Amino acid sequence: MNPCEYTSSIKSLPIVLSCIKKDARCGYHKIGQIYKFPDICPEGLCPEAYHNLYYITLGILFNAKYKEEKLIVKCPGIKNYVVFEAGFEKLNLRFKLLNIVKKMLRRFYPGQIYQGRLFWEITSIKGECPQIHSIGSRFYINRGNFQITPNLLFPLGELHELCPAVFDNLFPYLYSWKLEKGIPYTNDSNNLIQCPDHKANITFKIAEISK
Amino acid sequence: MTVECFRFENILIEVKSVEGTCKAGFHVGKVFTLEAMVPKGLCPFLYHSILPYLEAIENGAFFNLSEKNFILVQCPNPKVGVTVKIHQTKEKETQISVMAIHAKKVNCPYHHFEMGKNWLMPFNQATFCRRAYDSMFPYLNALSSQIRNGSAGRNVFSVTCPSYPNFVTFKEIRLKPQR
Repeated sequence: MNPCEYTSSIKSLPIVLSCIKKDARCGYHKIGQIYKFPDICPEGLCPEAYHNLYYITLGILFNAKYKEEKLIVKCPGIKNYVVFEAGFEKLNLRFKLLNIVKKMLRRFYPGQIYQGRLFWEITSIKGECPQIHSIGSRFYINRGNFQITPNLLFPLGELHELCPAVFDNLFPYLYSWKLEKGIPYTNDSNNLIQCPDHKANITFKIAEISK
Repeated sequence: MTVECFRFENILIEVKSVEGTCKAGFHVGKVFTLEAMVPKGLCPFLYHSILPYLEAIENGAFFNLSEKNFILVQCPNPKVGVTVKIHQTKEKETQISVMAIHAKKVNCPYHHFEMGKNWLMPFNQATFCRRAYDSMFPYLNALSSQIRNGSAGRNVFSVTCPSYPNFVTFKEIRLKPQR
């Protein structure tokens, strides 16, 4: 299974993800929320590239300071590949206001202070990309919205996409799902996946869409 | 690493080519076992889940108000729920990440994790480049499923690390099963 083949092999995977558990604050998900595959990553972005991008995206979102002047990531393709560079756009007014509130409450409640709206821009393409990416395309990393109550999110302008961390956890097992109808755990939870946040415990149930 | 969830008997990974200079010091022809890629005793699934957090915390990401800036991360299996704590120690000013099992809900079927078990990781000195492992993980897992399913063909996979313009291409080597 080579890069690009992975995406094409799971492209028409008839699965649906349902959020079945939420134990703490999360600006992405509500219980009962449903995602159909392939709508689990930013529209138009190759999931294999997104998986590679997420590796340093998390650090950027949490204000990590990288030594490199430019943050550049390539997709895993060998002869044909796409190169992305991280950049920031200005925050919208709602995020700016939220940043002010977060700074005021920082002594009591640490929250992510966003410096800008993170995007990954395609800067070069070698060969042919089956995802029909083009130079200059920008893909925005979803930061979630603001939770008021567990099932009420105040919109900050972000789309209702799958949380990037859940995507990163789920993506490597999608081919296994296709082949074995389950995530390769050897107990009775092979249709479940949870996010890495041990407090929120956002859990998704994966099911096949009946034809 | 012969447990059912991750089947890699008779599989090796070889460095096929290196474009430019590799920071991790890989050179063409170097061969790795799958065991060498993951810290000893750590579940490969859990390791994949915590990699972005390791990368973030080693580069100064700020996760909380504690003096010991730390983050708790859990494995993807909700019925197992192994949670590890990731932070950095100050020993000899070397940046070291320590992961400790913080809690577990049920016994993990593959690894007998014990509370307080630690893995010390010198900053930027992983036995195998973490970014490369992260990039390779979906394909390794696909191969594992194919092996388990009996559908692994003759085609071996190749994949590159995510660095650019210098990057490394890895290739799978399949050995004949020992009888």
